Amino acid sequence: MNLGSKFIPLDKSIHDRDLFDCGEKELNLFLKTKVAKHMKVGISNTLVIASDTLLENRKHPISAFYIVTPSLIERKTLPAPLAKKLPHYPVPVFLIAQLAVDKKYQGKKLGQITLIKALEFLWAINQQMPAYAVVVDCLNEVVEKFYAKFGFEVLDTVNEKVKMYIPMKTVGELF
Amino acid sequence: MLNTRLDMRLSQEVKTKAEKATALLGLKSLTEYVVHLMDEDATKVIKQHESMVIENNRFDQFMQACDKAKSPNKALKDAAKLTKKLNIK
Repeated sequence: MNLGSKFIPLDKSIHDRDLFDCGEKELNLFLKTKVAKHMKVGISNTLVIASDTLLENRKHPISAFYIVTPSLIERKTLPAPLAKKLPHYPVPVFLIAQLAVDKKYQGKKLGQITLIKALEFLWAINQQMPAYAVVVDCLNEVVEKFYAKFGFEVLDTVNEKVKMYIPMKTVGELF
Repeated sequence: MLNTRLDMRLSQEVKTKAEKATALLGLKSLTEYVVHLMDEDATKVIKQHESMVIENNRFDQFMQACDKAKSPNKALKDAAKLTKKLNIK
């Protein structure tokens, strides 16, 4: 059993999407049906780490993946004097839309490794396309606790889903 | 520049209704109406997807926190060290 050694962009011809199971049906289905299309039309980028193991379909099983995309944050209302003070508005951020680990590797710190690799990837993009923070969408309370442990703070609750963030300056001290 | 085509199948009912709307809006053709609708709606859908609107006090707290950013906590630093040690690229 090996989890793989590097994260690369999802490639349908190399990576098997059918066997991946993180325990959240919604997320498994999203990987199977939406992710490749979203990459093709430029909505988001998906990076995966896959095992060396070769399946019968000549593909490799995905151990973990993350999905990132640039995003913007707007204030519900913005008084004109405040707008003038903001150099970039709406405020550019990066979003980790999803992050998931296959059940086989859960409880082995692959979640935190995947988070670090996602932050490292975004930190590199930040050099070309600066952003204020990295925002994450939390599917449930377990996910919220995971991010809180690593210093993410609550941004707001949008459509009943909690969004958390970590400032880019904080991320930069890691690399 | 109009350099790509889109063929579509639709019911007679929708087509008749859309032709009426085209005339009411003073547009030249059904094509012009559809293109206008697509452009407007696609812009809206993409904007909704790409941006999030948050409460004023939350926004102000967020901007302040980004300005006076804290150092990464121990758990995050340890995770970065572990990733480096395992040499995961």
